[in-house]
Amino acid sequence: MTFEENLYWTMIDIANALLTGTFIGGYYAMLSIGLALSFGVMKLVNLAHGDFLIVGAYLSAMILTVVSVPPVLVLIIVVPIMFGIGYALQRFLLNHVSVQAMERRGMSANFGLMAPILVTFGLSISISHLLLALFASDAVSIKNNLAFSAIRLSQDLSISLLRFLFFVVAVALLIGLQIFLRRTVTGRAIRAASDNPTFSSLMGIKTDHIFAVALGISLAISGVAGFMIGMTRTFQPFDGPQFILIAFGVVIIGGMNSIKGSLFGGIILGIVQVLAGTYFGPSAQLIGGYMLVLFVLSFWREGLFSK
Amino acid sequence: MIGNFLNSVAERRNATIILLLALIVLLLFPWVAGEGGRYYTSLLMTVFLFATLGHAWNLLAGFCGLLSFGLQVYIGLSGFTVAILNYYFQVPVWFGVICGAGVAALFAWLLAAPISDQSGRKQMFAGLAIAIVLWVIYEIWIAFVPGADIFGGAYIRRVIILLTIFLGMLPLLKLQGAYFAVATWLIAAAVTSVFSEWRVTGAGGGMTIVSDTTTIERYYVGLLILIASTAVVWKLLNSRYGDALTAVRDDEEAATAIGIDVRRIKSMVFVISAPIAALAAGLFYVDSVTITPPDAFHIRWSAYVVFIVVAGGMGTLSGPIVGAIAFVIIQRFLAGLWGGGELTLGLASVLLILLLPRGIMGLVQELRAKAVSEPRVARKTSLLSSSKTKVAISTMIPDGPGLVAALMVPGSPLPTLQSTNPTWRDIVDAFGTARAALEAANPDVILVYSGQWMAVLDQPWQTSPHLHGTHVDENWHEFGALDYDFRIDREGALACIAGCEGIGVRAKPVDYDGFPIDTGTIVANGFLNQGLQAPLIIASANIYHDYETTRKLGEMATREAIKLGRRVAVIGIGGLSGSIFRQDIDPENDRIKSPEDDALNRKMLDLMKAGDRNGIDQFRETFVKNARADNNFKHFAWLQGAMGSEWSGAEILGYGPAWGAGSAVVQFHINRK
Repeated sequence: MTFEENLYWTMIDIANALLTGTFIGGYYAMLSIGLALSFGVMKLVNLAHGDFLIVGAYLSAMILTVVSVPPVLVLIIVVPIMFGIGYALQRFLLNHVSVQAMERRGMSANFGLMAPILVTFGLSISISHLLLALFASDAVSIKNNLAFSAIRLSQDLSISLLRFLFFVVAVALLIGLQIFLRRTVTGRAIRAASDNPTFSSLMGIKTDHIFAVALGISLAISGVAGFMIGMTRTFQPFDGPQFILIAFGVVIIGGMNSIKGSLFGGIILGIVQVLAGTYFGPSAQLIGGYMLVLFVLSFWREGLFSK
Repeated sequence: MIGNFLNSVAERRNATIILLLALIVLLLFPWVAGEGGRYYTSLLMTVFLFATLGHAWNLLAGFCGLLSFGLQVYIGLSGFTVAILNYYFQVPVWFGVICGAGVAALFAWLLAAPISDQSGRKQMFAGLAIAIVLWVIYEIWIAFVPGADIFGGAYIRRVIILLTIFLGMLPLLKLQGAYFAVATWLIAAAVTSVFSEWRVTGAGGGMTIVSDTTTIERYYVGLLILIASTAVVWKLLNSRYGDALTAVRDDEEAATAIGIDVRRIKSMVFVISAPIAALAAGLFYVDSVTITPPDAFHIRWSAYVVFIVVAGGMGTLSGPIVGAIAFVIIQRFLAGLWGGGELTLGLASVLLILLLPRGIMGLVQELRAKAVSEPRVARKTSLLSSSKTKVAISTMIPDGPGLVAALMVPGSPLPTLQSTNPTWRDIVDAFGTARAALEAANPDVILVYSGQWMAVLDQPWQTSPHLHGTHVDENWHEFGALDYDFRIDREGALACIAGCEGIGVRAKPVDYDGFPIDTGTIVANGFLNQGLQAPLIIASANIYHDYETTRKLGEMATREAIKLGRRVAVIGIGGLSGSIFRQDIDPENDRIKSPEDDALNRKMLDLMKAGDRNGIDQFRETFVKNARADNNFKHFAWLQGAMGSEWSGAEILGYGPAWGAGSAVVQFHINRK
């Protein structure tokens, strides 16, 4: 190969990594917005987040086996169901094991911090085994004709159409969520309750309800993300942990309490993974991602885009 | 005091006998069970193994507040160490298990190392530079001598070394709560992906461990590992780190504030817990023969230990053992019944935290505390002996809930520790009288405020249901140790905590095992509450609270306790004038340090005796200032708040010196309205 050819392919590799990484970043952001939201508002580390993504994916796939409509329409049903699950979960379970609730019951501060994490961990185990009992361990996916479509930018450079669409949805959703949190009454109540639950409840905000709405929104977004998982790949009951690690990686890079950070975190993780995959083989993708997250944790404990 | 001591000795002896019997049964079990009972022998081994894993996790989460979801990393590392040594070098498996523990300890040390270095980043970068130089030298060496590559491949070698460097840089133990939890999980996932790629460990297909161990052999190894790990945890809790550990567990911020080196304790425990988990894991894989990376590094292991420790009781010594029994029962038997063992486990974890956050052992403790405090109800009449006593209790004590007694007693341990010393004799006798009065008042609860339990942050209240042990006073240690045995009215304490909000005081429960216990409360409880065993509500003395706040605190606590339908006795623990002798004195020559102090003390006591509430309020500030009153006399503020206007005069049961300071036992006359 001549020097020019070499240079050309290097440039293509880098351009591909930047483009693909960025668009994967949109997908990663979708996987993690719900996690960032529940942490930002309730300080809740939802270890069952990955499993709820998979629940969203299964819901979408199951509905599509019953009715034959364009796949995207299942979201009309999936999103409200996921919202309902989230609302009920927070209202009837997680509100009772929050830090404040545990302190009221005379448990130590440390246990108070642990209780919600332990409960969601227990939920994670339960959900994955429930999915196993319901759907067996066969790999499932959402059949669609977009999965292999690509947008060709040049002879040697193209991006997946689906990933591009996901990116657009993620950006739109993030903007929408920001507007919702800033401009609407409920959004402001959510922010107030997250800043100071005691005072906002004195001001007449029903924090129990508001937190439940926040987890509802978190899970509704996870429902959309789960649908995206099903559109791009096959999934199984025990895939939750794999996705929660991606989501956590994104949130750690972006900053745990920053919803915007999820997009940038997703993009950075995406680019690093694609670069590692290009230069060191496919298995380096995963380990490269982990190393990036550990590196960020070493130097920027609050994440790169934290408020 | 003596009764209490005998009780605790008897209790301890009973416990020892039960433990010995259990040990004998377990030692003989495989022989009794024989061939037919092999299944149960192996099942018990599983219990030992999971109890040991529980100990490892409980050390981190239960005692250090380190919520780890990465325990599986030690399990995988240990299992593969055994497998590699066994397969490539034909090392006997039991020796391999010990090596596995060593590898896990090294790995934990690598993770914990960045925290113990105080000087921070500079040293970290130096370490990083050294690591990279060593790596480059190693790569060059391999270029000339390919045999030096023990990793079996350039890619995996570089990944392993790079990952090791990254892990070495990560200040894992500085991460808090959720960050720590997620980081441990990520580390385990990263190590898993290395092992899944690695040809040496079967490139994802796993390995087999070939040995000729018998079920009985594995059983005894399991028992040995469990006993050893229990002993290590027990030893740790009873060492000088024990109190520090529980303090770190309950409130890291407060622990740091009182000068505990939280980081050192955390890294020590972190490194100790790794080999404990590794020993159990080694045994597990010797028993199950095959090991694969996805199985050995599975997050499931964390789910198991979470259930075991939460079910048994987090932060207790016996919790993991009890939890492991529950775990094996659910996992083996329920799974057999309907195939949903792990689903049950997950749901049970959720329900346990919701309904029984203290676990089975917590429940047992609460039930025992109840069982001890209940017989007291039957004893309504009291036996009185001395004539002085009769005078003291001649005040009318009405039935039903309300304030029934109020006492001010000194918190100095000297009369307790040397009750025969003539200069302290008066106080000892006065305590006896006060005790009889208290017994006659038949309280359901004793509200205690001791100036010696000094709090800096917030207003802590003791909520541990049963506290017993031995305490040595910081100042008077040469006079001996104090045994104590308190029952706490948890419900009452929690009500007081809730009540604090109403008076603008930030309160919180403390539930430490044997900490903080102050000398004053021990002295008062020892003299006044022996045999009576009324439960206590103990309030701390925040050093920043002023007189008025403390008065409100006393008022609130009394109100809350009465609201619960209790007959309430209130005790303010503290002395009068505060100046003590700064030199060694002969206790027999003890006296109030100066005549001025003596005069001030007597004036205050006279005002109390006369029930002159206005006079006391006017004189108080002068008294506090000129007599350097003990704890700014806030123990009396507590009493004043509690009694309000429901008192008229007092009986001075005793007055005397305590190493120069003034101390008095005062019984207030309660007139309930």
